[in-house]
Amino acid sequence: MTSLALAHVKKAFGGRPVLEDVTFSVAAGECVGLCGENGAGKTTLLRIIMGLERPDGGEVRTTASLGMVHQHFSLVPALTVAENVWLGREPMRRLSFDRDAAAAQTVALAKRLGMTIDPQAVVEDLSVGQKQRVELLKALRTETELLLLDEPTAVLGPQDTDAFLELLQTLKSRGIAIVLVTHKLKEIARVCSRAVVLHKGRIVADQAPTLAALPALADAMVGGGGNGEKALAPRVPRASAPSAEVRVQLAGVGTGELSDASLTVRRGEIMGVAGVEGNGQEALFRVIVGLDAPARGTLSLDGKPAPASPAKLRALGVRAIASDRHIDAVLPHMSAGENARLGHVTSDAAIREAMERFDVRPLDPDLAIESFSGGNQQKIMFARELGGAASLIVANQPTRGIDFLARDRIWSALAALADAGASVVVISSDTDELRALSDRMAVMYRGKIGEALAIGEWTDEKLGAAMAGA
Amino acid sequence: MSEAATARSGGAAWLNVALTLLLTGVLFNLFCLVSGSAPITVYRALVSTTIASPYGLAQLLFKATPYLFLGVAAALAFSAGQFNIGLEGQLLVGSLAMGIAGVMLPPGTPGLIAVALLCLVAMLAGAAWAMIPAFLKHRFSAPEVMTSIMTNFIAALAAGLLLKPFAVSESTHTAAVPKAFMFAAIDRLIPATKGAQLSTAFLLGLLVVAGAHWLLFRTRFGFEWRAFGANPRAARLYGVETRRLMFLSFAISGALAGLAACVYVLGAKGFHEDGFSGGIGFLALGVALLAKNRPLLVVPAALLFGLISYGSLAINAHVPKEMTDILTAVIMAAAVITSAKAKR
Repeated sequence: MTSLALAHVKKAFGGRPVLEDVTFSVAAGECVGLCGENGAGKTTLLRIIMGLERPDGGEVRTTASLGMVHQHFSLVPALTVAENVWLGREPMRRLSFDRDAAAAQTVALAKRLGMTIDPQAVVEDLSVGQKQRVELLKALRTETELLLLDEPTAVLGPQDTDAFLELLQTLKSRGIAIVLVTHKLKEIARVCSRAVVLHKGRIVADQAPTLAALPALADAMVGGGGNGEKALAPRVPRASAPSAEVRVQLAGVGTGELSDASLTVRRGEIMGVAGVEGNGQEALFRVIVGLDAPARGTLSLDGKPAPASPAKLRALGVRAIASDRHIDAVLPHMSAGENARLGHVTSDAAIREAMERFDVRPLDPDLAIESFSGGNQQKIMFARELGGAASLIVANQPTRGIDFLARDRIWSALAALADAGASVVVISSDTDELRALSDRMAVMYRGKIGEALAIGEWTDEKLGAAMAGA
Repeated sequence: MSEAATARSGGAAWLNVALTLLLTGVLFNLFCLVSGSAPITVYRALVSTTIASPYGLAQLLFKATPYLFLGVAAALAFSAGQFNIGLEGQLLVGSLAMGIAGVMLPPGTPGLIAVALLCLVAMLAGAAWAMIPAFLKHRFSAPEVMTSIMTNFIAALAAGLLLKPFAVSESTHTAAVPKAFMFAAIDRLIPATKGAQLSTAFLLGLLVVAGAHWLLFRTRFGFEWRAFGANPRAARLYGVETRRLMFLSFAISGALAGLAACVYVLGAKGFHEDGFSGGIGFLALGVALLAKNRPLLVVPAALLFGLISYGSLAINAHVPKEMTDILTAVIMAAAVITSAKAKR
């Protein structure tokens, strides 16, 4: 039985074709991986399947009931699990919301899907992995037959990702058809029977994602050219080794979620900070870039106390990549060029050059930031920050949701800055990223930073244990 | 600066203004029919009493003048994301300060110096009054929408009280400032406009518009100003001194609101009078809304408000005056609707 069938789907925005002749289908109980670069048309395709966008041509047939999990959580933090799951479709007793029924139905739903979850738990107290499970329950609350997942593991650590992928296997066995949109080809290889690759709005590959086929699939994603192996996150080459000179020192820093956090970063060094999200990474970022002053302990830069002011720190060459660009970085309704200008790049020529360096597409500084795909917006944020000289770069989840060629450019740019003597702190929940990039790595757990070891010393077991707090 | 982007969204803004006017026109016709007048008769009356006569045109421009200052004051504050709803109070305080200073200044002071000094006094007074919501926002995170509204009422009462010792007996206004301190009236240049209240304050208003446009769209400072308005968190993280900018945006907005007093004190009337403003500080918020916070668009928006304001008197015989108040509200609603549509 076919749960989703697309035939010759076409879509253009303002004369610019986004999708061309897209044809594929998903059978019940099948999981199809959908991948492609930023701006390849994945999000538009999902919106068309959801019925949020009307195709210009072609035909879309779906089963009656479909659910979607978006890249960003769409949960109400102050409500309980059951309230979130049934929001908008609340079981009623006369005129009031029947909370008991909602809780009971949540437990039953979770049990059917092989999950355990406390329906009375308040969502803001949950871990990221648990939140993602709530999102999934919400998407599956109405006998859903087709499930659309947009980068569902982008926020998850390795353990949570494993558990999530296991869950998808269960859903498949229950006859649910799944479309999994992700940049992570390894995940597609684990749970999908087919990988559909979009490039510039066209399907360029539709085949079984065996491990052997991954480089070819990756190559297809970027339109050929033999860059496929970069999808597997190889170690980024470096021209010079870190010096012994310490640039950044946190000594017993406490503020917000940070408690007694200590870390030293040397000149020319890339320091990776691993950890499941929500263990104080945001507080660490805020302290180093000067948004928060340490309540206890000290932060010093080149041996001197660092001023707790982003403006003053920027003058000293500190650069920041915020984890949530919509909240902390993007200037809405302003052009790409103006967004880039907020950094320290000032001339039109320099802005264009920086955008070109990070392969921003389309390369038009006058377009409003909203006209760019999420990945390209992130590239613009890098163009803003890495366009000129820098002495310390703090990047929080720098390549989340970014395709691998763009990711490679960003990694190379960070490595080049480190080679030139800058210090780089990369905070990430993506261990592949940290393995590819870091000289040393430390793990954050409950507001503390563990011992920083050379990247080669971190075995998978050791890293997993540290991230779980063992 | 990304000229093309600015031009592009500027074009969209013009389109909004056109749409708003169209919607307004349709509704205005309906009003006329409802009150039993043929729309064409009303239009003829409107045109013959305003733009078709030199006097009417001059009065229209006079009515539009304060909206140039106040509209820019609102647009600047809104561009920085600061909702300064206290323009009315800042205008009152500026007017009172200007009126009192005008009387106290030695009458022999050279005219140009006196005008500059008095304008400065009004600006300082308006800016100082705007510091109240700014400080409360900084110190207690008090929402400026609420606090700045409150400062309007305090200003109205306090200005009435402070006026007493300076008021001409049996009146609620200060003594007139010397003629030498006042702007040139239009009828000195064009005799046909005899009696009209338009003065060279209008030119100062245009200067303020041009200056605000230059500041916002041609300087690094203006860019940071707009960035602060677009996303204050991003602005702070990427090196904008946001605290300073918050205070500055209130100060500049308040100063321009205070300066608007010159239209009356150094123009039409020659003195400060209690209750002279009649709520134009509130209506100016609509001017900024209609202009989409773009200083250059404040000019047509101010002219439209001037037309309504003066035109309502002219067509009183055909359409009740209340109808024109409704019309003002309709224009604002239309502006909100068309700009919401443009955002989608």
